[in-house]
Amino acid sequence: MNKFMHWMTAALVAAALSISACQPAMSGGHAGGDMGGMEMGGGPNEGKVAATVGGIEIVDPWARAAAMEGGNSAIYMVLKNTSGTADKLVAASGEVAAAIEIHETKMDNGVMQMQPVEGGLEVPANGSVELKPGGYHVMLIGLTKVLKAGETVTVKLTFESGASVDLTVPVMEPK
Amino acid sequence: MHTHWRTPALLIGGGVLVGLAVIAGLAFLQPSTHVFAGVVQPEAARIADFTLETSQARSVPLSSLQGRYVLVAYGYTFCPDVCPATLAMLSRVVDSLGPDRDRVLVVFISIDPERDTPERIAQYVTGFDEAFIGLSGTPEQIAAAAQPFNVSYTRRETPGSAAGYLMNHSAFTYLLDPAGRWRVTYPYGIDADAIVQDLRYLFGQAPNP
Ligand SMILES: [Cu+2]
Repeated sequence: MNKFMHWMTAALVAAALSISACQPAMSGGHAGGDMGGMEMGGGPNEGKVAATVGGIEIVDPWARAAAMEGGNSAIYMVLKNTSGTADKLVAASGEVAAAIEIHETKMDNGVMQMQPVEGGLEVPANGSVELKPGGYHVMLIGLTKVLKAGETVTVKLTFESGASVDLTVPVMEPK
Repeated sequence: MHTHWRTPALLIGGGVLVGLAVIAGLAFLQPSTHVFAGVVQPEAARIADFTLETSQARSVPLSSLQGRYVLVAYGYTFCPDVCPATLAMLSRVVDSLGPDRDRVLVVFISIDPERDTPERIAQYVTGFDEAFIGLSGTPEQIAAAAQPFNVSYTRRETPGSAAGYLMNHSAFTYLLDPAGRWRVTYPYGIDADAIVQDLRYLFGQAPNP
């Protein structure tokens, strides 16, 4: 009960303050005038195109930090197709791991399943596909080095169109 | 001129007051029982004991960890994202607990004993937090360790992949209390804060002696 009264008093005080605070702002005629600098965007890397290859934009790529050499990790990104022709991510390669493959993780009733994506990952015409934890990923098998947040790794991504790109990917700790 | 703004201000103020009173009333009516973020075991029961291996050739019966809350998860070092995400979440749990982190143990059990030696699983989990315990063992030991929580794991051959084979496995996190009783099951993807709140509630039920 004590807690409740305390809360109620605080609420009343807050309400009273909000009424009195209204008055000068409104009579001064500059209501809303201070809000100009308060634009709310996403994070610093949100929606940033890291590379363009053919008609595909590679957005916000990141690699999961991994502390164990010889272990595995994954790279995530959004592939955005700005062209009217569907394409596919068919291969990935690089020095960072003994093998690099395109995989999919699925959760089925609390059971995790992972499998290679057969025939490449489709990027629909004028559409996009998201590689993210618990879903599609570029799988790094047998890391040749520890992946520390703040560093970068380079992987070559090859598309069905024949286009390829050497992509620099920042290593991050997931949020 | 003055009456023009004063009336709306009073109306808004009055509305705010009514709204706050309603919110306060609702908060007051809410039962004081804690709502757990995971699935609560209807009856907290001690689970069947099992013994696994840790690095330095040490055999660890689960029951030897009693005296602290234990968060148990199953997975394998070959896991690209679900297991690291779970371990990263668990490291946020213990970090958020601050000085109370010593009241909780995190145990990660491999369901891939063929690839995960006790040394490898230990190295893997301590990459997330120095205090995490990684356990593996013989296939028979792993089978016994999966039984109490009904953890499912199956090996799938993937000839087209450098992985050779992959494991399907349940990805829950289980909470045992200091008496070794299974209390709560958390789904994959649960927020660290939600587990922290559950632990803080349990700490409050049985304060540290
Ligand atoms: Cu994978």
